Amino acid sequence: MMAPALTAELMVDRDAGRAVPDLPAEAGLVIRTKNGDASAFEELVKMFQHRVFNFVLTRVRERQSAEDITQEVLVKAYFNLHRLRRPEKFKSWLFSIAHNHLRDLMRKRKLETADGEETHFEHYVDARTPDREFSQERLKSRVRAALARLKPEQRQVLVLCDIEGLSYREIADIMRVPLGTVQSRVFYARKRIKEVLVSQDLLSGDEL
Amino acid sequence: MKCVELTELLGALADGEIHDAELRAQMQAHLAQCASCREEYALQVEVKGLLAGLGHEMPSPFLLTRVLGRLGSRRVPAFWNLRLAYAGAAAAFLVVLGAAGVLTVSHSQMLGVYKALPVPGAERGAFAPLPSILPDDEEVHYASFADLIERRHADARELLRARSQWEELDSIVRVLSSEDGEEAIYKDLPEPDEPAEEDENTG
Repeated sequence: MMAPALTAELMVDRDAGRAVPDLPAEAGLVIRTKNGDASAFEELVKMFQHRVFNFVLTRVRERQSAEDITQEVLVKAYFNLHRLRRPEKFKSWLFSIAHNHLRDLMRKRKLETADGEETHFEHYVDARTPDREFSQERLKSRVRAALARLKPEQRQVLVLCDIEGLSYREIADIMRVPLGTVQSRVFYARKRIKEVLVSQDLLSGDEL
Repeated sequence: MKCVELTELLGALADGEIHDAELRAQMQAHLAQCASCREEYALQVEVKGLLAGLGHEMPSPFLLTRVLGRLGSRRVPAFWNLRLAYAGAAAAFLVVLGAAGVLTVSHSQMLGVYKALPVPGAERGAFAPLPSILPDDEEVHYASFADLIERRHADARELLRARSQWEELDSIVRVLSSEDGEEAIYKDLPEPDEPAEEDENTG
């Protein structure tokens, strides 16, 4: 039953922990961690902590809470690493843990944002970037503000797709939704961001 | 190809997610002659580029240390340790008690059941080999009823261990996510007449 899933792992194991060339860098670190190398997991944390943190911020208002949840997700990943059969899938597996953990927290605390409700998470608007600073930074700040106005599930899909570079199939597996739902959410979320940016443009009189 | 058939696929086209070569060619041909769809496609590409340029919000530099600290010592505040230890011990006691009860009650009954069952080509007995109750691909067969019980006990212990680990993580997340964060662990419990503070940290 487990044989096909273990194939990639065994290939790497036979190669003394070095990942084969077509596997992502994290695959070798996953194997080394499974073999008891603690420094390998430290490398994994360094590689992914900001990615998980960024993803958690799509659902959580405050940075401190987001950091606490990120910590729990990474700890959970470490203690469940033996369940990961395909090391090359570590990234999407980690986001799955984060997504499930957030979903459980939201369900338990009944803090789920209502569908259709616009959210305004202040962390997306970088207060350290005043208007007089470079226009590129100003634009980023406005894009973050527009992202914050999306529905939570749209925000998550865009972060996974456009910032993390995951495929539609990986996103569908992480969020446990059909492929067509991912496709539709990406399309309409981008349109919504453009609408918000254009409306800000009209209000502020700036060029995008 | 009509615009309505195409529109929602434009995001996927911008992401390189149209894997059907024929469909991709049809879409490109349509884009070449439809200004409205070209505009929509350009929007998708533009916003994708803007988001890709955002980069990541960075967590505190102490996060790495905190994570590694949790892995190294699995330090859990004494209060939670005790509470979970009592809960775990109680659950384990109940499982053992239940299993012992089942064994005591059903052992004599099983003798009768197995004697009553027709087992062609095999001797009739309380502990005759049982057929596998797992899917075929597991290829696990129990040597005896006692073996089955032992395996079920092992499964129960594993479930208890997993549950205990989950509860531990969950409790710590709840405490650490409260307004006072880790400090809340060390605080005295509020007086009975003090109003409870609402948790507004997440949402």
